[in-house]
Amino acid sequence: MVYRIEALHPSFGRHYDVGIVTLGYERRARFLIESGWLQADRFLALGFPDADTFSYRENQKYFLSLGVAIHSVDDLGFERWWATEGRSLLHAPTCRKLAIDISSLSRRRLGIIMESLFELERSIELRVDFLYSLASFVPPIEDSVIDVCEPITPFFAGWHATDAGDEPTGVVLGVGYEKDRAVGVLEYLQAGPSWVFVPHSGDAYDKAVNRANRALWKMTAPDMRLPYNPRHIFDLVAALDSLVSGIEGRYRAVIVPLGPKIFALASLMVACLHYPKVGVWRVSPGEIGAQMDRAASGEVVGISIVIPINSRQNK
Amino acid sequence: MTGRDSFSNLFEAYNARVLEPYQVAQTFIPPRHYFRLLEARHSVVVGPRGSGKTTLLKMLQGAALEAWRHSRAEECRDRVRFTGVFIPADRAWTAQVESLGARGLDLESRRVFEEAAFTTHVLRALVRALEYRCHPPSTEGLTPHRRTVLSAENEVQFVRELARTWQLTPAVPSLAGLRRSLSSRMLEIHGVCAKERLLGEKDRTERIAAQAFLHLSFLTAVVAGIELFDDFSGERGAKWAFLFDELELAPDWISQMLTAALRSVDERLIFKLALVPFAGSSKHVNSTLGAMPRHDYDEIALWYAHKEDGYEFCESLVTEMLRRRSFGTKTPEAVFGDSARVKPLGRAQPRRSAATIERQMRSLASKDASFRSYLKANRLDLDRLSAVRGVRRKQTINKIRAIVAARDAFRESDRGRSRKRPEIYSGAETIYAASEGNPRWLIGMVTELLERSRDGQRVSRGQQSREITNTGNQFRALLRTIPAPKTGGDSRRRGLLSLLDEIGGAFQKKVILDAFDPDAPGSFVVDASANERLAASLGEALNAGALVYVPDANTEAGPISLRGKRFRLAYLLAPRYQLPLALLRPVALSTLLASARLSQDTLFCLPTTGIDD
Repeated sequence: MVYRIEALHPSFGRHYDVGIVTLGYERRARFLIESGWLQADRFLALGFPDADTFSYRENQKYFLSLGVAIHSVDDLGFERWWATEGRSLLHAPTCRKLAIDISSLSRRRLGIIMESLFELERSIELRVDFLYSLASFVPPIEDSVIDVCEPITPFFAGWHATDAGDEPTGVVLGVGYEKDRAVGVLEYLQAGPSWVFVPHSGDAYDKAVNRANRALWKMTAPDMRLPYNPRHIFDLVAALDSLVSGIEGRYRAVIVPLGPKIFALASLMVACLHYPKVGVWRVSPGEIGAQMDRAASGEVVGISIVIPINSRQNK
Repeated sequence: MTGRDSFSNLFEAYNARVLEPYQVAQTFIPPRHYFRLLEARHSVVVGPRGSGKTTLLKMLQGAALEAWRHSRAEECRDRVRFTGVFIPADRAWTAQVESLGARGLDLESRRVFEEAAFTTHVLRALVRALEYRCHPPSTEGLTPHRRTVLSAENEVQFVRELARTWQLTPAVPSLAGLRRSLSSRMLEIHGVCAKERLLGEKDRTERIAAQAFLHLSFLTAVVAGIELFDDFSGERGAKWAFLFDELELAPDWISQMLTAALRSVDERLIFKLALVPFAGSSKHVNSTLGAMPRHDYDEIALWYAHKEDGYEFCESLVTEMLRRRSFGTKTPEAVFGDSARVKPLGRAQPRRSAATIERQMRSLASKDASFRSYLKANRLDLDRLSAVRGVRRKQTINKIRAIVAARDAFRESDRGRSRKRPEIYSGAETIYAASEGNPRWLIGMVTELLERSRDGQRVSRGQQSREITNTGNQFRALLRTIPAPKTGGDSRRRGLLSLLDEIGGAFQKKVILDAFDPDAPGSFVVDASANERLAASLGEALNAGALVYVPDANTEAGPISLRGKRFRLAYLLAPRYQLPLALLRPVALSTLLASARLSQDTLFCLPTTGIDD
């Protein structure tokens, strides 16, 4: 294991050397700073150049007023930018406590960041707290189309090498409330056995998830459905790790984190633990998808990883 | 590997991909296409998802043939004069291979690693086949097929020599050890590639060139393997069939290499390739196959443009399912009823069939003035229908019966409103037709229905109709997630299902809602005016099984290009659009869309203020 995964320290959010946030169109993108949850010596906002809708301008204005450094690049540009600027940040000896607000961060960018942490070698220990601001419930838009279904990054494609080599793909699916998207994913991946993590986050949300996945419930046995609470991330990581450990030798294990982003974070962490055997895929409606402006509910959850000294996996 | 019994998923449980060969064999009912695959010649198997391509290929492996018990199993074992080597593929595997070195490596270097991974994957499949031939399980009930006895000493020698050729160092000089060392090589390929990414471009070419195992050619390595096996086993000129599944998912260079391999002159090597009907993105597949003489390979299409062609297989499969579920010797028709289908001329018509037609015609005449006009114009007297016979009956009553049945079921009155009475979707042959001969759909539907049957009694028509409708809705749920191709500009794209709904809706109008037309259209021809977007979308629908290609009599199977070709909607979607399960006449797609006031430019675009579905 490259790094340690820990539940958030009770003093989380108090003060960090660096805080990374997202300049996006959701109102909750600025919540952690605005509410005082997150304090840091300096902040960095990762923006999207084509996200100028909903609360984007308010967020931008707010961040600028605080002197937050903003870097707006598209996803391809982000990969290049993070390879240099992100690397400098992670290697800086003054950065020992880093906070990353993943609430509005895209899954792809989260994957790129996780990859760099996996490969990081440091002479001083680094603690990274991943923070997530739960959103107030917004009814789903009926939009099931899958435009993108691929590994989050090539690093997370997985690499399967069991003895036989002819095992089918076993999919671990985290569902959300997008109608029938989960079913489409299973068909697209021609999944063999499938395990479904079902979020339970509140009455309205739970009902929406249940409604959106009716076709999926007909296809999966009750004992293949695992409920989880997005507030209990450490438990989720443990459960996911346990399941993956059990299946990775028998199937080409692929995790597909639909639904709450916290599941995507847990998936990436577990994939790193089992690197390179487990894939993590992203599914998106791409340019087809509807956008929603989500507000923060006020609840903040998180999880930490601690990168010890000289930790790089493949040195 | 987990067996079928642990799955409750309609599509997963009957997906041969997750089953071991012996498990596939346990329930295998051979369709007519299977017998063509037994020949020791190249084959290209074409069919939409779920049509049974993987099952058929897996049934060419020794492990499946030995476990298979069927009245024709012995005959088939005798006919298979090759060793089947199944090479699996799926999207996850393809994505993993394509991700090797995707960041940080130049194209040429990436290709080296991709080829090495593919070669290792194939060699591992070959070793699995060798292992089965030399060390079959001692399970009871297996009928030996092409088993080989290799002495322990010979196996050691064989493995050592082969390992040298393949540049492997197995810890144990056995076939199992050889397979494990190939698995280690897979990890090694990944590790070397990851290291190259970190080491940078300087001296990369030299470093990669120095790793000899990265440069094994799969064909050369395979031939070396089978030649060596021939030497040690005493076989001469034995044939080996490499069974490549899901060719459309493979990286372009793999599918190009394999289609070119069909021209191989090495008679020991047979290639059987499976792919979907529309390999639109693999243009070279189309062009390569299209340029080859047809006698170089056998094309096998796994769909039934005419539903009756699939009945024999469906009936056999359902009969076997009934037998295994303690329905004894009951026929499918005893359990599900007949579908009042008109049998071909010369065969006895069920009495129910004639009575049903007459009842439906009377019922429709009572509420549909346009139908009454048709009857009058054709001098058909409702009180003397039984007197209409022979050619005249064929040209009138038999011709219109499917449309009459649907209109009678769904038309409320002359106001053209529709109502729901879908019991027309019931009966054994209706279930066969709705399944399109797709084993996955058929097994899924019938399993659900049989579980509802009490004490082996007949399943009610209402239940059958609901199950067909439910299965169709599940299929629609999948189709909903497939996007239509990109348009320019900012318009949001609709899913594939929206396109199908437009086509289905247009047919519904013509068959059910408009004035009675004995020649109402129910299929379409993709005319030359169809643009690339529309063609690509139709191709996706074809591959998903939502559209069925209806070829001319002498047309080859495919993969196909779409323009000028005729298609119909899958019968599983018929209940949604209240359409009969019948092949109605074709109409140009552009004409159909125009009649629904749709243009190709806006067909795929969502309105700016609304949400699709």
